[in-house]
Amino acid sequence: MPPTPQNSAPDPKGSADVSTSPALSWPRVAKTTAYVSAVFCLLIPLLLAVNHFHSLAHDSLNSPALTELKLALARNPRDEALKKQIRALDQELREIQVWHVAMGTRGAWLFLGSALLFLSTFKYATQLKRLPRPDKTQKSAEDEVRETAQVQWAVLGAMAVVGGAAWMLAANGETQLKASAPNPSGGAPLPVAAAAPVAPTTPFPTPEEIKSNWPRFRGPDGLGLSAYTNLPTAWNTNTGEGILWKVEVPISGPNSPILWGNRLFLTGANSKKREIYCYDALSGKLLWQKAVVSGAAPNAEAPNVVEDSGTFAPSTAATDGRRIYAIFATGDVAAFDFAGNQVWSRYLGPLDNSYGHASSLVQHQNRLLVQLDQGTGKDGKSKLLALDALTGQTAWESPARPVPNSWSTPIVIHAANKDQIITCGNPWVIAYDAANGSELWRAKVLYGEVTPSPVFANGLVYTVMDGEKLSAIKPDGSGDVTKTHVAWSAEDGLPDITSPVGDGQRIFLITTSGLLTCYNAPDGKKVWEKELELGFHSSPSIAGERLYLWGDKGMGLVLAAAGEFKELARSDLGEPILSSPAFADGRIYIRGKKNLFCLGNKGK
Amino acid sequence: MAESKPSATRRQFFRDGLRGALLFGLGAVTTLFARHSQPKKLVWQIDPAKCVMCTNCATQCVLQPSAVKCVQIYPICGYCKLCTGYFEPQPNALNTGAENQLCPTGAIKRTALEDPYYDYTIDEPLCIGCAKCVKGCVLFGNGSFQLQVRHDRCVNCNECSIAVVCPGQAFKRVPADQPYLLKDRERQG
Repeated sequence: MPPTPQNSAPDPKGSADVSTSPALSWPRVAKTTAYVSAVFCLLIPLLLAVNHFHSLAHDSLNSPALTELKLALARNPRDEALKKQIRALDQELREIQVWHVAMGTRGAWLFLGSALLFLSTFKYATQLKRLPRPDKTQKSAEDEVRETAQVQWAVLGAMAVVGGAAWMLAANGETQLKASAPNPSGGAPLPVAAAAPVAPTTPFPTPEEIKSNWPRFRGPDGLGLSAYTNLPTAWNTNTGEGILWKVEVPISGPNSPILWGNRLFLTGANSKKREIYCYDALSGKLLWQKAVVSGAAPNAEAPNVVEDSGTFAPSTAATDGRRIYAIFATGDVAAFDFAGNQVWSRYLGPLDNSYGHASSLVQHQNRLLVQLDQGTGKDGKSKLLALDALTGQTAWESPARPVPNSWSTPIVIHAANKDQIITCGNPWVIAYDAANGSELWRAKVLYGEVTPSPVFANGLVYTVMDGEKLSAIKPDGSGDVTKTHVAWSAEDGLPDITSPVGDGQRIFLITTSGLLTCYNAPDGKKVWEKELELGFHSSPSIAGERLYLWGDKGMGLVLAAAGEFKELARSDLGEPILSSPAFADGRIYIRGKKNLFCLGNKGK
Repeated sequence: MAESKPSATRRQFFRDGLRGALLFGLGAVTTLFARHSQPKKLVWQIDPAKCVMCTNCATQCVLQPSAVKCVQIYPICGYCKLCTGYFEPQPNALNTGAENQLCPTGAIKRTALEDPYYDYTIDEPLCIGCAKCVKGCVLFGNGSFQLQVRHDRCVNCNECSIAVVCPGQAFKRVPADQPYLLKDRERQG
């Protein structure tokens, strides 16, 4: 007969007797806890129900008292006491509602905790009353044989599952490993552009970053100057020589490509939709294509646009390496991140512009500059806007510009210890302080429908317009500097659409009819001129000692940017070109009427 | 002396190989079929074209506050100074006083942009999905406010308690990978 707890021998080691140890009180604790938690489980739903019905009685949605007070206020709109009553009652109703929601949430969690506690303690308390079961750890030989077979099948099954999953991944999955492309120059492999770029840590790019990219119309600072000189000079559409790739752009347009790293951006639009395109600059693959929803009224008339170019997207986009910004003839401005997510959009229209808004966007530090010239110049509609690049909100706005609609794109220069925004309109060249939009100086040197953009070289601002003159202006004046700061002016070979380009020594002008004129930059002396017998809408660019030009029908000319005319090469792209090129390391990107071309030498 | 028979003939080798390839192909086809025959996960969503802007979304959801919230479609918003989704009809004054606001929980934040434009944003934790603002905006404004089931809150009941009582039958099941039905600027108005 087993000894009873009462007559068991004392433990010689002094340990507690099993029958009287505190451990045996756990069932009692569990039992008591189960009772208490059961009471909670019954009580809490009751309290929750009370809370629910109480909240219905104080419904803030349909409070008759609040409605009555608001009606009374409508009858006596100047009754300040009523307003105070409404505010007090509104506050009270909101507090009650928040309190009810909080109580409901807490009550639900408390009920869940009580239920779990009840179940666990109830299980513990009742399990101890059961008769002992055979020890599960004791196995017979038959059990071992059966379990061994089960284990074998389980291993086989697991292997099959793992194998199947691996096969599915190999067949259908996309690798997360970074691929690399061979570097044409033979150095280390270049990263594939489709891989996600490293997120910039600064709010806007450094001057070095800007110089190594092509972030806006006519590249860094809008000067049409390439930082790279290892560029192709000839290409052939029949043999493909000198053409790395070409892709068709979904919607044609005359705006120019811009480039940041290995991402190339374009925009396209028609009367129904506006789109931004992101291409892999290495392969020409269209990475994403995003629509910009217009903020115009549904029944608003489409803006006037130039019929022959047929475009609602004449403005070139801009980027700061963080976001891409685009503006359309409708007046819609939008920002997207590099993954193609829209960050913000604004509607600046409807715009009063006889050919449609065409001035391109300019990014400067954390501002996006929009030259919004429209109307007659006397109606106060024209202005220069600086939007916050991150949010699209207006950071500052210039005073009304005394110019009518124009199509020129501003540039930002650093002169006279200030960042100055140089804008062109009829008849004024106006410089604004980039910090706050205040006017610094103006010169009356333009005329007509101003389209050419200004450039800055050799310490002088150069502006041009057919019918007026080519002017070199010293940017350190204030007020009207027409009579004091125009260093020189000239009247031959003036373009009406294309912008000038200068390398500090010479200024080159190309007219729409094909007259190329070279001026000496410091003194304005005409050096030479040449009739190219081609039409031009694309602005000229300089890369090192070479001048690049594209004719309206697609003929590309490479000339010496020198003191005498010398044609180095001439190659036809075979389709109309109205845009200006973007330059990168060993590559030129140019948009035709139908296709986007990447020119470069394979293997270099 | 008889020649020793090779352990595996060439014919047997090809036969076994063919069987193996067939089995592998069968497995691959079965896996592909099983993969593509899986039903798409569906979630509840409100069709804004059918929403009649009753207050059931605020009161019938199993969650409190409701999983239905107001959503502002910014491209449609007119940024009006007198927003009919924000202000009571014929408001006493165009300010943020409780006597002027339509929203019973003050969940719409009104921020001045530049005269006469104001930005309206939804403070989602406060929004109870009562649709008062939606009604005001749709009836008298551009209709940029709309109700949507927020899937960071919705528990996706098999039988949505709001859908059961929705008078416009605006609740529908949509694929989980496209869980929102937002208004489109072009189709609006």
